[in-house]
Amino acid sequence: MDMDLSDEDIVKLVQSGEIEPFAILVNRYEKKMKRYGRKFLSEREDIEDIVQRIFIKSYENIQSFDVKRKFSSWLYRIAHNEFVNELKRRKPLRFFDLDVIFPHLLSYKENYGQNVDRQILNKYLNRLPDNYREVIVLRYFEELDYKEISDILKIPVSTVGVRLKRGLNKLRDVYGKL
Amino acid sequence: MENFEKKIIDKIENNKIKMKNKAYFVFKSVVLVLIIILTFFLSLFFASLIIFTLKINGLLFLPPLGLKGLRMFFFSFPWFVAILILLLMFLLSNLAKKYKFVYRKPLLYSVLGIVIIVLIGGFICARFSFHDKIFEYRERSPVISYFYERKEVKDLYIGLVVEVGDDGFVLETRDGKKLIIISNIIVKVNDPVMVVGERDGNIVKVFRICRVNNNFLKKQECF
Repeated sequence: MDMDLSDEDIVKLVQSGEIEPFAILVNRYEKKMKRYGRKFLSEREDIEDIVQRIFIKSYENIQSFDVKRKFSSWLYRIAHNEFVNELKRRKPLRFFDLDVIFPHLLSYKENYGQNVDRQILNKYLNRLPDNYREVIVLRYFEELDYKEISDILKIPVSTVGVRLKRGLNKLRDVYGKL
Repeated sequence: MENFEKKIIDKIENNKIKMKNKAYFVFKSVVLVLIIILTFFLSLFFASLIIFTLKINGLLFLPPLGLKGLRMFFFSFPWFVAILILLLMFLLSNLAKKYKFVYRKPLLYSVLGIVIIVLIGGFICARFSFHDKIFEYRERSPVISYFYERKEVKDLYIGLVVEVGDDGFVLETRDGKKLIIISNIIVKVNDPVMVVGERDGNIVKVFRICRVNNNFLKKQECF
């Protein structure tokens, strides 16, 4: 198997009925998914189970994936849903989010907060509300761009920028270290 | 192969996990699109129904008559249908949120877009005669009758002048009641009119009178 194949090419093979190439996708994303999960949940065993569920769901639904799109965004979307469901099970989440409903007067830039110190971010991340935390995780730890984050969270691109800015400001206000 | 991958691949190979068929997803997308289209047309239908019922009940004449007219309009407005439209629009914006061109923009934009399209579409649909056709069948079905029956609006009387006297005239309403209208406004027998006023028995003290057209749907002049 050619290990240089793109995610989307591997998905094509899986969609055509091959099972082995799916192992490559699992291998490529296992660590990323676990890291993503650890930003929301602390119990390692739970994360292992949820990540397994993410890959199982992605396999079951892989025929719905459009290979012209990015596999990573699609997988993160499944992961987002799984982690959010888990969080909802533990504590109720807000139903209405005004950030998603109204346009923003605040401006946002794609490279906002590029020089943040990830170690400090990581240390204080759990003090942030979930909606700010997730955007920061996707941007600074998973290194996704605004449009990918918008596709994963199904929120407006401008909201991604605004949440990022507000999230970082919140951390700055409290610790003044970023 | 590492342990984690192996666990998943084993489950697939042992048929514990099955890939859903492409046809299933195509079917799901088609159903979603059909529900969106249906919801959209239902919203249009109910929006035009509101305009139609406002017309047949004479409510459209009321707002220009000042505060009293506005109050009568407010209390007789078909709020139930309006709430139904709001629920349909809420459903529509939620269903459409699945699509990139919707979720990438603030929800307010899509909601406003839907409201504007439904309102304009409702006005356009109300100009066609299909509501008149359904209206004719109102006695055959309780559901149609619920939405289309003429509602009696307090203090609003629409009908034909059947007799003219010195102090006023006799109005035969569309449901066959005869009312004495005290007024010095000059009308002729067979004039279609709308009267706003307080009723005491079968005598109505007039607040405003409007001449309307023959099918009672258009105001011509008010006194």
